[in-house]
Amino acid sequence: MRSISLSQAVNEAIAEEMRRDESVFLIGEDVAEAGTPFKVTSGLVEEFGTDRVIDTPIAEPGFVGIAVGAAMTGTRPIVDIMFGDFLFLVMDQLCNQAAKTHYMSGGKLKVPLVLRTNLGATRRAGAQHSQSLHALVAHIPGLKVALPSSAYEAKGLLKSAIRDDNPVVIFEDKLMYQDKAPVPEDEYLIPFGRSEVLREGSDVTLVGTSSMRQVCEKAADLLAGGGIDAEVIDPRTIAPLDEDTILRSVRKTSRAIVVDEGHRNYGVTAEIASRIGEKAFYHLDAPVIRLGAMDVPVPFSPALEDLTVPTPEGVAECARRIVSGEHVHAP
Amino acid sequence: MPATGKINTESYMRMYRQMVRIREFEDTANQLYLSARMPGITHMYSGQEAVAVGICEALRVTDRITSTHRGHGHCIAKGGEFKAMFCELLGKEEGYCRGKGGSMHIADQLNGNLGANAIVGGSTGIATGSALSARMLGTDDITVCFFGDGATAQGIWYEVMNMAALWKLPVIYACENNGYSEYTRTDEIASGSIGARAEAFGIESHQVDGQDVLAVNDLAARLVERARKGEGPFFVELMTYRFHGHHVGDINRDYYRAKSEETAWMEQRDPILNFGNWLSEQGIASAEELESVNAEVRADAEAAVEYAFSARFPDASEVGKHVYVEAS
Amino acid sequence: MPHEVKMPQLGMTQDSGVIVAWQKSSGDRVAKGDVLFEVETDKATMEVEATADGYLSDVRADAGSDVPVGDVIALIVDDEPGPDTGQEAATAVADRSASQGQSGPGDEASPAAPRPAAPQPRPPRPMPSGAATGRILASPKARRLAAERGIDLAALRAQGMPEPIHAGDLPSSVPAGQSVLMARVDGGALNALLERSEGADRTRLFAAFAAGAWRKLFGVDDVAVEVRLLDGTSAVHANPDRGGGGGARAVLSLVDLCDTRVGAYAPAGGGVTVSAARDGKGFALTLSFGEGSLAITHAIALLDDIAARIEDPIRQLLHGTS
Repeated sequence: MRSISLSQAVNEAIAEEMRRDESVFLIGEDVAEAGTPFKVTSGLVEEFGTDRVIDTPIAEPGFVGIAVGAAMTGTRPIVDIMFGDFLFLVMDQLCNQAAKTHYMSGGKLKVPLVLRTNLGATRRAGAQHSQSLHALVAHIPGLKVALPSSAYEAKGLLKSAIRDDNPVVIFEDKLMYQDKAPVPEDEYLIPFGRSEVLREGSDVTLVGTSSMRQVCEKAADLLAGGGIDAEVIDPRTIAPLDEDTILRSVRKTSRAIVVDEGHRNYGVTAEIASRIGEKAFYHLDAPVIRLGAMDVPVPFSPALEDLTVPTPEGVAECARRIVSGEHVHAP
Repeated sequence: MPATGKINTESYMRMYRQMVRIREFEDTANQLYLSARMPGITHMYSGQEAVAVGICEALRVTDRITSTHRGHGHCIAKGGEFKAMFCELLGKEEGYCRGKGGSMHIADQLNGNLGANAIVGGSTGIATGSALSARMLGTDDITVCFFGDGATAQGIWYEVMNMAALWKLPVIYACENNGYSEYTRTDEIASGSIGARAEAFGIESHQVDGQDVLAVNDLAARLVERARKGEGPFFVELMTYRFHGHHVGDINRDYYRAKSEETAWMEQRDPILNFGNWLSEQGIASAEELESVNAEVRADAEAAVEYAFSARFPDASEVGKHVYVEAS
Repeated sequence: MPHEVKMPQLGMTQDSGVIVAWQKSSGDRVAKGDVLFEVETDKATMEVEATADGYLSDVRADAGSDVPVGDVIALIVDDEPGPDTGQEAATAVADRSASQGQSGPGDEASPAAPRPAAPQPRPPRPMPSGAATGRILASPKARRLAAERGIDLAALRAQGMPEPIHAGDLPSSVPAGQSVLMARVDGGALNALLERSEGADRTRLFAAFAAGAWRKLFGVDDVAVEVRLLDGTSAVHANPDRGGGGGARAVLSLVDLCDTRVGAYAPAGGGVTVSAARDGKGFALTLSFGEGSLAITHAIALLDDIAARIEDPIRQLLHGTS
């Protein structure tokens, strides 16, 4: 199978869906000729023209609001938010308007909107271009949230998102845009709400989202060397969350580490860990461990920034401690 | 008052009836609130009827509007029915939004009402997007964005006006300047000229007497046709007045608005009384004919309220429905 | 200069506090800020810290005691106290409890038998995590499996299993039901002792022998025995082989059938139970236990040592655990 980069996969998904459905259009800052700073949308304006690949002023609340209105009235906008950090600018339009319109209208109106953005630190981009804010939007009923962890997932999940009649926020890992992975030439979709078990194991379950999937896979490699058999699960979407697959795994392994690049406080790891605690309690042989971004604004200095994100070594060390039965917290 | 605008008697009588319907709906809702028979809070449109009716009478069913927290008037003027509206206000299953929206979120998509919005300025983007999609889909429907003077302080309005002007979208920004931004006089929150702000984006800007339904309708009809032809967007500032407080519970408001001012507007600038008098003077409708319209509307409202009170509340199972669109 | 440790005022309307558990024992070195004990007030359970450096001494209130606010319940002294201080203090408090009308041990006490600890005025409370005498630290899965397999986690801990106990620490396969061991013992020495010492309590001696044997077998600090009386009541005797005192959950039950014609008692319901009955001039001992909670080799050693102590009681009384 051919391998393409994550940014190519996203580009293909958008192009295929725009060819398939004339109501799909792309809107955002520098999405046309510039193709976004990550060159994800390059070439689309040549094929689809400026009526369907729309460059906007730097006005996130405004163009997200416009996309919400357009989605309510018969089109399917794909909105590009250049950095996930800019989500804070569009919270009203996304969370008060898009998320609630279907419910508040008693099901009469719908908002088939896709908001593409990104997450991930260690790009030396400072505190306002490095955040992973998916937990914020996953908190809001009415929004779906997808976290692709490879080129293959990015394409399949985005195509599903575009066809979804609900507002979907899809976070790409900005460090992964150039990472290549096998992607079929034939069309495929990845359904929402189904985790992928990337590696089966019996000693500990590692749940890794987005950028942390690879961290968990590398940790599993490290652990295998020490005779610890780790299972790795990528939830793929956190709203909806396929908790059944995670719970089934934890019931088997009795131990879980949840790894996500969002902040630890009140984050995705807290949500998944608490569901494990609630629903697999009597199968747990160790506390569920959460690893996330440190609860600090992302620092600029490489010496500091690298400390803030979970590493394979850190995940493996935690796994070793809980598998050995060590006291992992003060009694 | 000028005798221009629609010369069709049927059209005049329809505008009169629509304004009376709004007033009657609001008076009834106010009584429901004051007698503690209605849950929640609501914002009265009374006094501003000529704005909603004058504009919506210039629109087609397929043209769209976005509304505000003070939105009952827009909903009625765009074709809304009493029964479904009262049911919504009382949280009943037969409400426009199955009781899940309430007063501040009534939406009636079959009549092109994309919904009231409880965030001040929150619908300016939606209206602009609606205009964008109409053009993308090749229809000549236009969108009217109703908002108050208070919303002119929100940044998103400027962002979307900029884009609407850049992309020449078929949208009319209808700013209902009722003189008060919640509990504060508008001149305390708005510097310079509101109309000039639209002009700064190259948008043709108008100001009109929002108490004169014929003047409003005349201007709206002209702008709507031009917007349909791609000459938009437009901005209209409609000078009007809300007869009640910010919401039904805003009773003691002397601290921000003098009683004498309210009385003067109600006695001299009531859009319904003045239009009724004009209809009589012009020999279009006698006082008795107007009174019979009033009586019919009153009876409709009473029947609708009675119906709404006896209507069912949504089943508990409804609480989890419509969070997401079910996969078809 | 000793510092007095007093029952603190912890609530607006509180006039006494129940000591949930001691975190330090008499003789322990304590530093200012160390948690000394936990108190339950009308609002919450709170930790009380040492206000001075030194050695904890003169502990006058056991876990479970309800102590008026302001009462001195221990001292912090500069020099390491002697080994007996704690026991005397406990006795003092026990006397005070009796004088306050709470059920006292006096009627059961005899000069020859070790003085028992003050009975608890309330049902036993959960002990703090981490303390050897407290709640067992075990994973949720280990608890579930233990319950399913009839494994007694307390017994595992009493046998020296390190905490937290995980699923993998549990015996994997366990014979269903209870196993029974029996032993016949010469009664000459014990009968002579009981005849010589007026008021000596046979049952209490059995409890002391059982505790001593358990302590020797597993090398633990605290051993409590539940003495089940023939009237259906029971009492927990903490460290009866060492004169009582201290807090611990009972690790085994003792039934003294010597005043009946019954020869043995071996309950099917779980736990570790020793019964002692008359057998001619001697005694018949029966040990019933689940092999999930007490390994057969341990069980044999335990019953054998209890039997040895009955056959040579002076040795037990003179040398304690030796």
